Amino acid sequence: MIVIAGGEYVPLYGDREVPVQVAPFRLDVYPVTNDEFLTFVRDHAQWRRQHVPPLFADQTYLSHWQDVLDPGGLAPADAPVSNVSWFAAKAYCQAKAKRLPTLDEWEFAARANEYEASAADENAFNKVILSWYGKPARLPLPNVGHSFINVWGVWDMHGLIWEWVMDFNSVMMTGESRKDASGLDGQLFCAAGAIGSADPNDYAAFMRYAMRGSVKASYTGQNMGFRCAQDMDEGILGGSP
Amino acid sequence: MSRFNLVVCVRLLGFSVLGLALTACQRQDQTSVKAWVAPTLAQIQGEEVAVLTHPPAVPPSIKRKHPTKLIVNLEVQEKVARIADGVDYTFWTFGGTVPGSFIRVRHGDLIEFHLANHPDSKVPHNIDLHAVTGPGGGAVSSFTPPGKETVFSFQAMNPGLYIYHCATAPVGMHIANGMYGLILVEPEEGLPTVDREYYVVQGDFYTRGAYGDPGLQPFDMDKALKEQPDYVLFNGSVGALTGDKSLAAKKGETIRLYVGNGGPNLVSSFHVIGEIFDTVHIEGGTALNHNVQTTLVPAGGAAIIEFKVDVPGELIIVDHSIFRAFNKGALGKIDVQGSEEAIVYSGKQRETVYLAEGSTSQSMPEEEPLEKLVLTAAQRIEQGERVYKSNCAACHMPDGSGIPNAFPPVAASDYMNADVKRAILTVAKGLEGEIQVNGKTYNNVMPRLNLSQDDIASVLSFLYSTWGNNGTEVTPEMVRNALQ
Amino acid sequence: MNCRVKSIVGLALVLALLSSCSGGEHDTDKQSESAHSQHESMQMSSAGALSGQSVYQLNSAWTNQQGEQITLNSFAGKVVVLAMVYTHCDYACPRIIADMRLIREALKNKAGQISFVLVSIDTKRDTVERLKRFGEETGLTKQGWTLLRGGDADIRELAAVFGVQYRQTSDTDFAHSNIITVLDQQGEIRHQQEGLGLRSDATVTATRKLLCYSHNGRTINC
Repeated sequence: MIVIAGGEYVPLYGDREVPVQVAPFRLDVYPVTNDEFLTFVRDHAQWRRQHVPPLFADQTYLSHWQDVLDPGGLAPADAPVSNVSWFAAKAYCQAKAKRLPTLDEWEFAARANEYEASAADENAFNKVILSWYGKPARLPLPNVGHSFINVWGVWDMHGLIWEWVMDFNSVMMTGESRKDASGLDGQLFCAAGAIGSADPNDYAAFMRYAMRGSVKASYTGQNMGFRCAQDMDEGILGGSP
Repeated sequence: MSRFNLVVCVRLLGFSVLGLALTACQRQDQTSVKAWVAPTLAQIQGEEVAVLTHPPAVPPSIKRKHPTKLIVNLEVQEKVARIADGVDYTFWTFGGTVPGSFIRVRHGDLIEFHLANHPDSKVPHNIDLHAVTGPGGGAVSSFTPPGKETVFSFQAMNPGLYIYHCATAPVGMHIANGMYGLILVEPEEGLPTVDREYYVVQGDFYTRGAYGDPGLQPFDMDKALKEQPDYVLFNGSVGALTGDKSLAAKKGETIRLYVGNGGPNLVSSFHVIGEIFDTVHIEGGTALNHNVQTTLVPAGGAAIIEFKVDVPGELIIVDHSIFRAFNKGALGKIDVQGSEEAIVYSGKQRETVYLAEGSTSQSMPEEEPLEKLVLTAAQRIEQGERVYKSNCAACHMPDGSGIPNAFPPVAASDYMNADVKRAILTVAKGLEGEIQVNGKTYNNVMPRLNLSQDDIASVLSFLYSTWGNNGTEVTPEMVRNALQ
Repeated sequence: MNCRVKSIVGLALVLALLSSCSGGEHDTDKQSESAHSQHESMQMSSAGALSGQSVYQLNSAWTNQQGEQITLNSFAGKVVVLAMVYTHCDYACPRIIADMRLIREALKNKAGQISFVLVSIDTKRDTVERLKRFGEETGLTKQGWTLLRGGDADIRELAAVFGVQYRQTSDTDFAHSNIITVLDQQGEIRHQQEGLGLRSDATVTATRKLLCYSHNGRTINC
């Protein structure tokens, strides 16, 4: 794992005048791979695809694996595991004495490009991210550690998969972007703020928020994986893969 | 809602797929033209799966005389496809095509809408059908992540032709990538029978590279915000409605075009060269207009256009905001077969020499720039390429190959390579009459282009430097001398 | 006024219900009732293995307003009407609680078979004492009302299960979905009312239906 020195950032949601403070934390260098997840389901039979109850994962959970304990050709060992639910991702991290990163932690770490910790205003950086969002991704996914490494030393924050975060369900989006932008539906949500921005560079972030807002905790998707995080005062540094 | 309007109340309650209960009530005041009472659940008979078609095809007209429960299955697919020759684009589609599948329902039908998002998709999508009476037009109810399917129901409360589109953030990007199509709510009595129906939707596209730049071109948000499209297209690609994909018709037939405009930005001045629209359902609604030359189709709007084709030949479909047609791709064709109708249209009957009195008309004197930029040969070629793309490529094609029988090639052109001065004069003054290029005869008009002497030197230097031409370097001095 | 209610049936087949009315009558219940009774009737629960959809698979620990430690499956065997709120909320949560009271009032002859549960999303301020006092001040003292507090991760997980979205927006406030969830005796989600200021008829009907039982081939008590 790698230490991400905290700091403040202005998220897409909420008041743009009030930055959010992110405390220092540790983050996995790579997304969790098929090989690592295979080890986890070997050790935790309740997370094998024939055992997992529908409350915790829908029917496409690990469905691209050739067999229960054999990822096979569509899920190469070093490719990120996908088709995993939020519950499964959470359980994996817990088993490693880790946890999922919070949305703020993930977004904070994801603002870094190769050269600086805060590249969110870099037009070129955002264009690269947007162009990945704009392309469909078919299985098998590429291996981890091949897209780009950011200034913190973290690989693949963009350009490989969507990633679960602990509080993915803190995103209040109805999917009705016009309404989301103009103020949330007062009947569906008790909230003051609107998710809205005129900054075109926020479009990349918009798409991540839309993705998070569209899923439920049991959902699995072939482009959706995860990595784990850890509090600074928790345990010792875990080994990087 | 104004009390002078038709006040319609529908309330749909669903407890399971089979247990749908529906009551409808309606109040109407005297000023309304026509009373329409939404069918109750008891009046909705049977169940059908809607026939969807890819453009330019339209599903068959509805013969049913009663409202039904109509199941619509639409799948979102994100796919790479050709936007122009040699140019690919990642389209986001409803049903695999741009525009999306055509949906045809009957006024009063209860539509159970299934929106699936392919597992390969990168992002969640939804659908806002302008034919829906209800919040978001279905957008909230149909928010669907990759690998999922959502279901919602609505009753088709108003007849007409409506756009549907994706409304997921960023909505402009989803639309710019091709996420729109048409849904026709056919009036209960149906539409008059015609011989042919076609489906045409205009859209504007924003690519990183300029028009024609080869390879897979990503979406360009900056250009989209500035509303400066590189492509303005009918049915999602350059040439989607030309060549062997031209719309077919026979002399004497009646044609109905279902025309939409997905936008995201531009309003279309929809026109068919050589035809007058007998009837236009203005904005896709109930009002009819007749004898129309050009009809405006707003972004997120539609029109139903009907006309009889009386003479054979090619009718050209354009956005009459005309640079879009000839420089950005907004061109289509209707190929009308049949024998000539000389009374309706004669063709060219005579061509004679015309001698004007006095001197020839003058163009404005060219103003010399205050400070002359001296270009190197390489810079001149680079600038010439830009000049070519914006002034010449539309006819001589982006690769210089020309169009058989119409526009001669400028690639490996013996006509050009044989005589530089003639080439300069051709670009500077235009050309008319028969010429031979690479063994083929061309007889057409090349207009005089309003290019500066520097631009003429640049574009010719570019042409001579590429595509198998002889490498002649053309300087502004050569242009000046040739023109003296 | 536009409103939207979600009804969850079987494998989360969601039909969005649209109601878009300006004038006119709103009589819907005759038809919807008959649609209901054609539907399968629920049997009273008998304790057994949890289904794969049961919320009671969560083993998180919670504390009620009496300071007692409980797990969610202690509600098993009863129908549960539940919402996630915070007691310092002064707009939406009182409305949600008012809706739950109305539901309870409509089902008062069966109140003994239903648990009304409020789960706090405010771990800092909603202490056991605060929950107890809040319950007393707002008259939620009758039997059947339970106010719960828990750990942040457990609240996040429970919200994920119910599809409740929430986020702390300041030191004192939260943004959150306005959802009332009905669980059957086995802990499966049978109905969700999403949105404020709705008529709770559908929720009442769905809850009542869970309390029907079959006797000698007849459906009783619906």
